[in-house]
Amino acid sequence: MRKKKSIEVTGELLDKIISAAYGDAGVLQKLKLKYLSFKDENIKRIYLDYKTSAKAVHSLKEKDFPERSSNDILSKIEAEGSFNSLPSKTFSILFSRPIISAAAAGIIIIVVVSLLFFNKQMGSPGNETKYSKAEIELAEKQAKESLALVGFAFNKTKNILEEEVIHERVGKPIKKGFDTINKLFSGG
Amino acid sequence: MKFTQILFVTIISAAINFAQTDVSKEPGYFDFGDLSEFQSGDEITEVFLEENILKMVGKLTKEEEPELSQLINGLKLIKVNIFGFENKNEAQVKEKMNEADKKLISSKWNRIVKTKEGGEQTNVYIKTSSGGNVLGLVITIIQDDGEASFINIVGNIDLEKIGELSKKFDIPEIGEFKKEKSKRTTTEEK
Amino acid sequence: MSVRLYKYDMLDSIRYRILFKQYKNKIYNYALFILKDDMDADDVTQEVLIRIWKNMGQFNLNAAKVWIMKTTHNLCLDYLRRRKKFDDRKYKIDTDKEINLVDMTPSNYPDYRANFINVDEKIKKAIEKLPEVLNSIFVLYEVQGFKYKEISNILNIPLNNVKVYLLRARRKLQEELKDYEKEKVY
Repeated sequence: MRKKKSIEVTGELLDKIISAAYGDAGVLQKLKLKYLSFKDENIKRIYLDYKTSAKAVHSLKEKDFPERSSNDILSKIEAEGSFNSLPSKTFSILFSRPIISAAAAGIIIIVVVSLLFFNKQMGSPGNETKYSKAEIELAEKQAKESLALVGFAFNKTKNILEEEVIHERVGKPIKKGFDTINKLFSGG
Repeated sequence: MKFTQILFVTIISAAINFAQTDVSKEPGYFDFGDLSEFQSGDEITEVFLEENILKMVGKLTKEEEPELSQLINGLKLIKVNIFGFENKNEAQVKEKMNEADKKLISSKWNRIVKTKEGGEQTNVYIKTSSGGNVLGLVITIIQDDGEASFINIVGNIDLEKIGELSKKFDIPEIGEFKKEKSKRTTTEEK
Repeated sequence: MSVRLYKYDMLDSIRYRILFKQYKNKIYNYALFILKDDMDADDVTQEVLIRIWKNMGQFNLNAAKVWIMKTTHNLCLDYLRRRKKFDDRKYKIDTDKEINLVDMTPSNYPDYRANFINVDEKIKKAIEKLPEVLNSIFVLYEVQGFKYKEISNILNIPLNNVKVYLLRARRKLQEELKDYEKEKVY
């Protein structure tokens, strides 16, 4: 009786079997493996073993984060005052009862639209948005860093222009461009 | 009740957005589109400073850094996107830069600098008013270490001042900016 | 790191509650797999959830997923370092357990299946035994459904390495499960 020649399971083939078992493989690869499994019992066995493990992994149930711990965190944050701020409290009160919330929503919409209209007419006098000192300091840092990046670009291009454009390609840039460039680099 | 809450929040948000001056309508504003598809790794920096916060920065720096304060007071927006990208995305990032170039030129921006040095490309564009004032600045940079920067500054821009200040105040150079960024990211996420 | 500045407490509260609900279990379960301890996982989860609140105005919500899991991962590493069990990945045979297994013959326990650890626990234990990086990648991809790119960002590992490590993790898990099966021989 002629012995069936078994297919050698190389590292590459094993990776393909594993990918197919875990659901990563493309359609063609899956079909190819199906064919190989049909031909070779060993490949079939390997594929089924991995498929069983993959199925078990993908069926794992997530454990719930304890409710007690969730409540602890929310209490801590509320204690800091942010969740408990007046806007938040007002929000909770307004929406505790349907009748109140509907009426409140209606009143608020009318007030907001009127204010907006008034604001636009007056040319937005006081967009007095409150930022914390930390936020402003951070914005200052970022503004400086952004300007530094702009300065970097100018310096980089200045060097290239001096070395390549001005020495090698004189006369090509439009005068207007050069005037602007001269302005850019006058500080440098 | 839930629907009313959502409706309330939506209306308030819309109202807030409407009440603010829409910077996207400014002549010096430019929309680079969605850059998130090119971003890889954790080196993503996004700066978005609108007029209100810039005014506060201007106030804060008035005493100690009057020139910086004056520069910033004229601005309506500083928008910066810096991200790392992989080799396989390099062509796409360059394509994005070229798309931006075409869009800017067709929108009557002036490309005042276009440089290419090895794998690095830097383009600088300005938008000017009829009176010659610079209302917008766009810079696109691709560096051969796999980092791209897209910058848009909107407002009354004094280009000379920017050139001066970037040296005068000893603001971090780009190399330090990168280190500072990654150090900051590590500290914040630990 | 993004710095779009948020100005409204109320909207922050709403956004936070959404993130809280969406991620608390993901954070907790990831920490459980890495730390293998309920209390430590609980502590890490609480810390991450507080940090999310503190940083609400400072990260791009589109990148929140990556930021949150990266913070979780880094905190877990801190805990592991403190415990000094970083390199201890060798499976130790519990001698008590061996004796129990020998006792558990079908003749003594007619319904013997009920006395074995259920499949979930078996798989979880095997995953926990994976070496550190493989463990993280495996949990993030197979259990929590993150994409390669997201995992690369969370763990700060090149994308190609993520794919290679995932394959290794799957192979290693299979070995662990086989070892587990061998232990059960009676």
